[in-house]
Amino acid sequence: MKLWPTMVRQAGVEWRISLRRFGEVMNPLVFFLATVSLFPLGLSPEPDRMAGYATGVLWVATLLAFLFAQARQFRAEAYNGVLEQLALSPHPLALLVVAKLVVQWVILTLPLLILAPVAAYALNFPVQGLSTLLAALTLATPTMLALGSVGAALTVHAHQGGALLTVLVMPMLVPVLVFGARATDLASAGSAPGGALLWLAMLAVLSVSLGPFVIAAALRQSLA
Amino acid sequence: MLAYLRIEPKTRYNLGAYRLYRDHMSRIASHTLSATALELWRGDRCLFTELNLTVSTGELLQVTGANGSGKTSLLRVLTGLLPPEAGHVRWNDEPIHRARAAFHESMGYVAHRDAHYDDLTLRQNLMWGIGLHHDIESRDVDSTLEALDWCELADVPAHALSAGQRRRLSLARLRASGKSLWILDEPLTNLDAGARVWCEDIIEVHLEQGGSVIATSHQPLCVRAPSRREWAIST
Repeated sequence: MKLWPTMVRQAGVEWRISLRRFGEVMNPLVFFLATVSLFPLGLSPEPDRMAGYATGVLWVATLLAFLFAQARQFRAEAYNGVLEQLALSPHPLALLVVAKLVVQWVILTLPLLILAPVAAYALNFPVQGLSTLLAALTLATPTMLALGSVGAALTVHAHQGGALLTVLVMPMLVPVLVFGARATDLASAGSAPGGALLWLAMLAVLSVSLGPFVIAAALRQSLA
Repeated sequence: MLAYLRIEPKTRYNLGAYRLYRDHMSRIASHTLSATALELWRGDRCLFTELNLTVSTGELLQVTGANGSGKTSLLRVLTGLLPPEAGHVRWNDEPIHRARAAFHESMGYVAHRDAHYDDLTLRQNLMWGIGLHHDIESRDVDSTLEALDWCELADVPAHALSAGQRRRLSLARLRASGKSLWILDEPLTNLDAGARVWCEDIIEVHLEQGGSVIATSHQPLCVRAPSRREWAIST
């Protein structure tokens, strides 16, 4: 039994479903843009002050968009029995989950990386920090996705799963927010953001390598 | 019991020469699933305790019992999805949690929920579902669809199917996955008379070729089996 074609096929299924539900999939990004554009209205539209809070707003909006995207993760699969079949496949469930998450990451992150410079420009974010912002987002999003999926897998059968998910996952995502915002701040002030970026990379390596196994264990638990 | 003894010989449905299925069946090995001293609780209710059963090559075990008596839970324990409170399930004398991959390679489960992606077409669903269990090429899917006589439905999304058609699709997927042990939860649910005969036929062929089946069913299964047993869950 070959594992690789099965993972590719699972990724293909995920991709097709996402395209079929394009509006639903893009919803978190609309949410991201809406959050970012509302802050200047609530705080201050002055360019100087906007530059002061731009970093925080961009990161908080990204984090919320990812949480929002994950609120219903695994729900459909648990409901229609697909999850059972995945768990009964001879292949490791963790690797089938990886295939699913890679596609989700691409679908969420690529548009985000295109929208982020636009949002940054709108918030008068210093141009010299832009490349670091994009690098930090690229490093932080795998962690957000992996940890969010752990929460979603744990709450897949909970009736109020969405609220529980936020409470569960938010504390785990604090380091990502702290290091992401720190790296971006350092770069926009003209200093070297290397340290904070390395921390983000470490968190990404940890969550991408261990996360799928935790998710698989939580999903198996949910089936029992 | 009388209902099992059909007087007139059954006309076999076109079961199709599945390349996959035949290949697999020519090298099917003898196998045994045995459960010893199983005990399962749901909430504060004991569904069964000290439950022992064995199913091996060519055997059909029909599990009967009232609604809510724990038939589905028993099947889920036997698939390894639900860990029992006590006891072991063994596949060829190896506890299933230790030989998970080997067990799941030989065991197929058709559950109450059909496990189809509503947004995908029949062809894509079969490609995915069979491919989870078996190396697959697109012609294997074609032959499965041909055997169902559903070639014209190949590109219809699964949400357009009726409940009975979805059930047939699950059974066809199981059949094409080349498993030696089938665990079926109410396989005849939603099937019309013709499809019911088809389902009984594929079970019969599976048993003849050395496979084994554990099924729950409220309706009698009209299947000639080399060896069949019935086992009632008491509440």
